[in-house]
Amino acid sequence: MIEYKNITKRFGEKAAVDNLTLSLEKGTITMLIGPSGCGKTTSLKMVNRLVDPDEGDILINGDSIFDLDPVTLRRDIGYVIQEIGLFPHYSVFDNIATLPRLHKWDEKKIKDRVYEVLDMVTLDETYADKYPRQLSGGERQRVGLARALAADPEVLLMDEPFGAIDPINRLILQQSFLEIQEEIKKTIVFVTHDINEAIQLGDKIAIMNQGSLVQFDTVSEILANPENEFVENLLGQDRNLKALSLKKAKDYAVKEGYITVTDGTEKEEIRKELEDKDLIVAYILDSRDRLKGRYYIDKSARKVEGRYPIVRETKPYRVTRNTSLTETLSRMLEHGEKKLPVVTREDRLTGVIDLDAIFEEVEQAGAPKEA
Amino acid sequence: MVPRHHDGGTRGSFSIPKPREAIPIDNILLFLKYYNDRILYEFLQHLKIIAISIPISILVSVPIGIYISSRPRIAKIVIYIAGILMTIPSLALFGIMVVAFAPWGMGLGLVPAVTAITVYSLLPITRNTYTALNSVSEGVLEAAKGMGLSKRQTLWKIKIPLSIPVIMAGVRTSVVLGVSVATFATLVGAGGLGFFIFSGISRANFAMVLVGAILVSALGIGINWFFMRLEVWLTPRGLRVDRE
Repeated sequence: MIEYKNITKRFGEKAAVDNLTLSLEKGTITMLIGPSGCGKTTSLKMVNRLVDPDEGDILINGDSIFDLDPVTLRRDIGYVIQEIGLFPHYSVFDNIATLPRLHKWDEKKIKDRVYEVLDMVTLDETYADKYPRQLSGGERQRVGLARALAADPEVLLMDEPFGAIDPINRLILQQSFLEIQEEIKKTIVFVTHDINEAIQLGDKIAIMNQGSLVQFDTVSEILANPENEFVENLLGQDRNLKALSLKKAKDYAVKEGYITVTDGTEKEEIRKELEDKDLIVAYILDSRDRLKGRYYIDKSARKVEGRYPIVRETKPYRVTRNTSLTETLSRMLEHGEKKLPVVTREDRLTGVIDLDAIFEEVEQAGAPKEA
Repeated sequence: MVPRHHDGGTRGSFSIPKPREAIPIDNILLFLKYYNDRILYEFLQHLKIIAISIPISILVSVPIGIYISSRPRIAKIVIYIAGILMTIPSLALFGIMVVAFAPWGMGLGLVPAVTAITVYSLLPITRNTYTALNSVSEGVLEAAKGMGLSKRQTLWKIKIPLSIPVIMAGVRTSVVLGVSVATFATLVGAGGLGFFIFSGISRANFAMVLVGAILVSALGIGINWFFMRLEVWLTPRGLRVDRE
């Protein structure tokens, strides 16, 4: 838990941060957002004392950070920045191992940890020996995140980490970032200037303007009840649609309306089972429940001997558990599918999501919401 | 200058029998034949002067460069002074050294020569060290600081390794400069390949001058090549790999 208590920071006459009081819950992502110069980055950098405030106190788990030597404090806080700042002369392994080595862990433990965090950010072992210059922007930021997580800090500070990454990779990174957070449950302070990113990633959003806190609340609460015009403008016109982007596919996935089969199953057997249950889709799973393909009865094709043909597909379209409803919707439209399978990060099938469920949600979003 | 005729043939001296129709290639071969020992000796002497002054210069310049890298105001002054030292004509610098060391009885020989070349080579190394340390990317430095590397750790683990290519380029400039400036060493009694050039001039021996000049150039080119290899070899691997 991080608490800002009456923090003020002046650069010259101007207060960059003006009497900020903010309490960030343990294990959540708090997004700091606002126009440039609003003090969001300054506020973030106070937590690891890259900037010291003129007044006020900051507590982590009840202890003032000003009681600690800055260097010691920083080693227990993960830090990810837009420039990433990987050390170009260090291999990926050595970059990630930097802090564990400063902490004087033994080499065996360091090695295990490096591969563990690499796996977390979905980079395989072959990346360990590469150098930053051999990586793409997205891969570098994954390594940057892995490096910040290496010493298993409780607090993670992220300063527009995905800001310099192209839109497609940014989406992928944001997605895997959420999945990682689901596993590690760190207390994260995340600075962004992109409201969509804030809505997508945040548990809570702190909106700042000219050094002051304008509104601090859960994402859905801010979307439902913006404090003032400034917040409304920041959120933009399409608030209902944005609200939809908060909802995750996993919460609408159902385990009905399809059957699962193993790979060797006879076509006719599958067709019979589908016809008996009046369904059209059967997903093919391997021994670890991973989605390997699907069979479906193609009702748009001509009947053969009075029956529709059954078709096998090896790579069916899918969404992951944390895909937002907006994204799910756009994929359904794109691929012309009314139902999409929902899988975990390891590609295990957890259910299917239906277009109707999304429509229902849109209708509800239009209606006044309870807090 | 009227060429003087010597008896010729005795070892260690040489003359041009018919200077007016001098054909350099013949004379050079003859020169090389009679002077091979001396050539080797002066060549090694030249190398020795460089081999002593450059390490001294590195030991002085790199720490200065590191020291001033975080002190821009002092840096300005130091680099300015080093720049002035470099504008002193090299010949004059050797003269100054002779006078400066004379009171200690070291006005002639290796001491003034090495000192002059060391002074001369300070600037490229100091300036490159300073520039290199200050051009490490902001992002890298912020990450290092934010991760909890101390200033000292940042310097030794990050800044210096990343600066090696540029520092080494400065060293290379200095060495090549040193090789040519060391030509004057012979004038202060420290020997070196300059001996052939200056003796050749005073004796109007074209072959002698040419051999001296070619050897100095060859040494310069050779040393330059060697230091280029060294530069590559010392550069951390991560800076050498290109994006695949």
